[in-house]
Order: sequence, then structure tokens, then C-alpha cells
Amino acid sequence: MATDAAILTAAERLAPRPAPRWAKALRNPRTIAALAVILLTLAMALCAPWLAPHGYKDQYRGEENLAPGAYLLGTDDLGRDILSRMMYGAQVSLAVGLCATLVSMLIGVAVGLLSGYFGGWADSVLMRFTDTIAAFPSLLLAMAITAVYDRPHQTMAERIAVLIFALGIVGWTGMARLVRSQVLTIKGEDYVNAARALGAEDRHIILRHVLPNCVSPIIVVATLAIGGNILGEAGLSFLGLGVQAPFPSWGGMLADARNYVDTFWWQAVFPGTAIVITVLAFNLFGDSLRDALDPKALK
Amino acid sequence: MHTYLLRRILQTLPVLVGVALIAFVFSELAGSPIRGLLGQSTSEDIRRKVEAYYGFDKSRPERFLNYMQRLSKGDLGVSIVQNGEPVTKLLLGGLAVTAKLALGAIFIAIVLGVSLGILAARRPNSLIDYGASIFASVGVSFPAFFLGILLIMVFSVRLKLLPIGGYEEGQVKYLILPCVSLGLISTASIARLTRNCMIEALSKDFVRLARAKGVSEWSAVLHHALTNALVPVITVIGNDFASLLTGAVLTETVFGLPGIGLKLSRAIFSHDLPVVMGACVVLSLIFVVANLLVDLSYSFLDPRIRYGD
Repeated sequence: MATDAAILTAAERLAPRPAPRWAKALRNPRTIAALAVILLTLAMALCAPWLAPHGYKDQYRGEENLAPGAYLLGTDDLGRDILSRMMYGAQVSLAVGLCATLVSMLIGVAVGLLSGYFGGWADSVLMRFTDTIAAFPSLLLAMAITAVYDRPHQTMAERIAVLIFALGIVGWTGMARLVRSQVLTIKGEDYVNAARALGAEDRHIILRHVLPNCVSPIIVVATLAIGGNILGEAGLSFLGLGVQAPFPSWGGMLADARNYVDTFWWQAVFPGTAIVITVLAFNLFGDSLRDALDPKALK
Repeated sequence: MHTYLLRRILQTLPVLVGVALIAFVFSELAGSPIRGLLGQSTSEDIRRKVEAYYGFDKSRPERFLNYMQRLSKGDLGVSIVQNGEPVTKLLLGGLAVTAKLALGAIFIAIVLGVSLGILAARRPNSLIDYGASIFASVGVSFPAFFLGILLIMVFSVRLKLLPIGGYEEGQVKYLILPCVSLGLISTASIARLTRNCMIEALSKDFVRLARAKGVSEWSAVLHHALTNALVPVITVIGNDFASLLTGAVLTETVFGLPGIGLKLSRAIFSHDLPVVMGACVVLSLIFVVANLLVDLSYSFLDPRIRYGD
């Protein structure tokens, strides 16, 4: 018997290991392209102070509204370099998009775990609450929150925190429902029953057995949510609810450019395209992750 | 059916109270509007009297009940910026325009999305299918307001076919670009879903039977398959309605279309919080009602869905 087992482990060790599932996703050129765009945008945002040819608020008198040329992507109505402003604007888009997703992920996972694991009245209360929040048009609620907290003399960090909070607090309902349904299936598995029979505490079972088995769908849904949050931030900034001027954001640049659509097309086209490409990259990357990690459950 | 109808309508009540509660909490966080209305120079004594007159000296629960009472009568308070103009009156003026915009956009989204989905589903992995899939991916990543700006650049500035913005009662040309830019965004997700549902429906036995029976291709696709694929599509349209409403706020802002959304964005700009909250309440109300209608439409589309007879 012992030798059989030894042979089996040896055979397992010799057998070629199947590539991890996320590695499979990386073989798809679509995934690589999406990831490259995401990393490039991230690098541009992080290195904006060193990479940007000009400061985001440097105004060049007499060089207002220049077409692309000497300034790579042209200048805006105050004579500021559009490329530089887009690089700094990427900081806002990515920071808000990523952090808001993190906030809604934390809320959604917590609500879903508690609701699914404990069931009973906790489940009823939490799910009715989730239904009520989900019954709002979420971006509208985010507009209301950011509008209420739109006070003069806010610092940059405060303003970004408001955006993250507003988008994060409205976007968690889908995650909560998903995690809850995952927990409901995992709860009945043998290894959970075994852990309970061995006398494990609820906290231990949730954190060690239930949560790790929900990780792939959580990652997929969170990745797909990033694009939506970037779009949300752009929309809020377009309405003047984003970071305060002169600091740029892509949505805010589009709002400024709205007044010049008939003359200076580049002022709107470049920031707008940046939004589309970034959001598209996150969505495609999320799609690839979904196909690789969880082809069945999330289709 | 009647009990289901009643239950479904009753289910929306807590949601509506939730909407009111959230709007109330945010108005509270913003503080009493009286100081803003009266200006800094008014004495504390007069301010207190005015606040008492409007019930601002009462306790929070009392004020919430008052607020609910006023809401149920359709009273959304008064604008701070526009000299105490009633918010309800202000918003009702924009309701017709927003309704036209939303309905036009949904119409475009359904017609274009469903036909694109059918075309793609009939020839999976064909050129049309790839085109539709690229269109869908780009479409869901496109902010409606950017699309609006691009459409203005092409159709208003270059080709001079349509007005650059604004609105005149009864003139359809002012609505075409806003409806298209708002509708195309939802077209993307509807096309993607219709394709997937249609591919599944087309492989079902009842479609093969219909074809074997000798019904025309047209009838097999549209009558037999499509009616079965439509239920999930309707669900998505219901879900998309939320992004459509917020998209309407942005689209109306881009085109200067005087609907509820433009009033909301102007109110945001001028820090007119009662109007902001009022517009959010009204738009949420529209969303809740729309979702109710979507739920009720299932049993008409698919006779197999019956509710607790």
C-alpha cells in the first residue's frame, strides 16, 4: 500500500502540471493587448510628473487653441498642453476607478458572505437592503452624494475621496448577490461540513474555507466593474462634480471642450478617446479573465 | 395574476420609502437651506422664525414624516437659486422632453440592437458577427456624452445637417442626435445579449420542428426563435434603463436639451440642492416604475410565465 502511494505521488510529480488557468488567458492576443494598454496608462499616470512635457496648469499666452503639431496633441483654450493634462487626468481616472471598485468589492463581499453564510433574518434584512440600493439608478445616487459634498476650498485628496466613496457605495449590490449565491453552494460542501464537525468557528470557516473558494468570481466581477467606475468618474467630472480646476480629469476636459466643438476638435477627441480606450481595455481584460477563470458560472 | 400584481406593486413601496429616506438624509447633511435663501445679513432672530415657519426647528423623525407627507402630495420643496420657484413645477417642465429623449433612445436601441443580434446569431463567427461583437465591446465602453460630442462634430459642424443643440417644441430635428447618442450605447449590450439568446433559441427543437414543418425562414427566426429569446433581452432593457436615465442627464447637458437632466446638471452647477434632490427623486421614481412595467411584461411575452394563480 505504502509503495502504491509513493508511486502515485512520484507519478504526480513527474506528470506535466497543467498550466494555471490565468496563464491560459495570457495566451490570447486580445488579453495581452488589453493588459498592455492598462499597464501603459498606469505607467503614464504614475510617471506624469516626469514624463509630461509641460505642467498641467502651465498656460502659454498666445498659444491658445493650437492644433496638434508643436504641442503633440494641441493646446486648450487657456494655452495648456493637452497631452500633459491627459497624463495627469489619467491619475484621477485610475485612482478613482480602482479605489471605488475596491470599496464596492469590500462592501459587497462582506454583505454577501454574512448574508449567504448565516442565512435567516440576517439574510432577509441584508438582501432587502441590497434590493433597495439596487433599485436606484446608481450613478444618479453618486451624483447626489458628490453634489452634497461639493463644498468650496476642498483639497484635491478630499475631492478624490468623495468620488471614491460615492461610486464605491452605490456599486456593490451586484457583488453582494454574486458572493451570496456562491456562498450558498459552498456552504453545503463536504469540506465545510468536515470543518464544522471538527469544531471550527464560523470566522475560521468563512475566512479559510468559504472566501478562498469565491475568489475567482470576485476578481472577475471586480475587474469588469473598474471600467464602469472610470466611466462614472468621467460622467461626474463632466458635470463639474469631479476634481477641482485647474487639476485635469478626462471628463472635465471634455466639458471644457464642449464649448469649442465647432472649431477645436482635438480638445474633445483626445481626452474622450483616452476614456474609451482605457475602459475598453479593462472590459476586455475582465472578459478574458472570466473566460479563463470561470467559464460556466459567470456567462 | 392579480395577487402577483398587487404583491409586486407593494414590493416597490419600501424602495420608494428608501428613495425618500436617502434624499432626506442628503438634504439634512447639506444643512438648512434657509441661511442661503435669506443671505448672510439677516439677523439670527428672523432666521430662527423663518426656520420655525418651515418646520426646521422640529426633530429629525418629525421632519422626515413631514417630508414624506409633502412628497406624497408631489411637493419637492423650493429652489434656492431661482427665487423660491417650486421644484415640482420646475421639473415637470422638463418631463416631456426627457420622456421623448428616453423613449426615442430605447426605440433606437431595441430596433438596432435586436436586428444586429439576430443578424449575428444567424451566422455565428461570420464577418457580421465579428463586427457586431466589436461594436458591442466598444459601445459599452463609450461615454454617451463623448459620443454626443462626436456626433455634433460630424453631423452639425461638418455636414451641417442637424442643429448643434437646443430645443424647439415640436421640432424632431433637435431630438435626433441626442436620441442616437443615448440609444447607441444601450444598443451595444442589447445586441450582444440578443445574439447569445438567439443562438441558443435557434438550436432548440421547436425551431427545428418549425423548419421541418416548412414554415418560412423568416417566420422560424422571428416568430419561433425571437419570441423565446426576448425575455432576457427585456430584462437587460430594464437594467439598462438606469444607465439610460443617468445617460440622459449627460446627453441633455451636451445638447442643451431642456429636460429634467439639464435642470439637474444646472442645479448641480449652481449648488441648488433642493432641485438636485428633487430631480434624483423623480428620476428614481421613473426607474422604479419602469422596472415594474418590465417585470409585468414578462407574462405577456412568454405565456409560460404565470404568477401564482
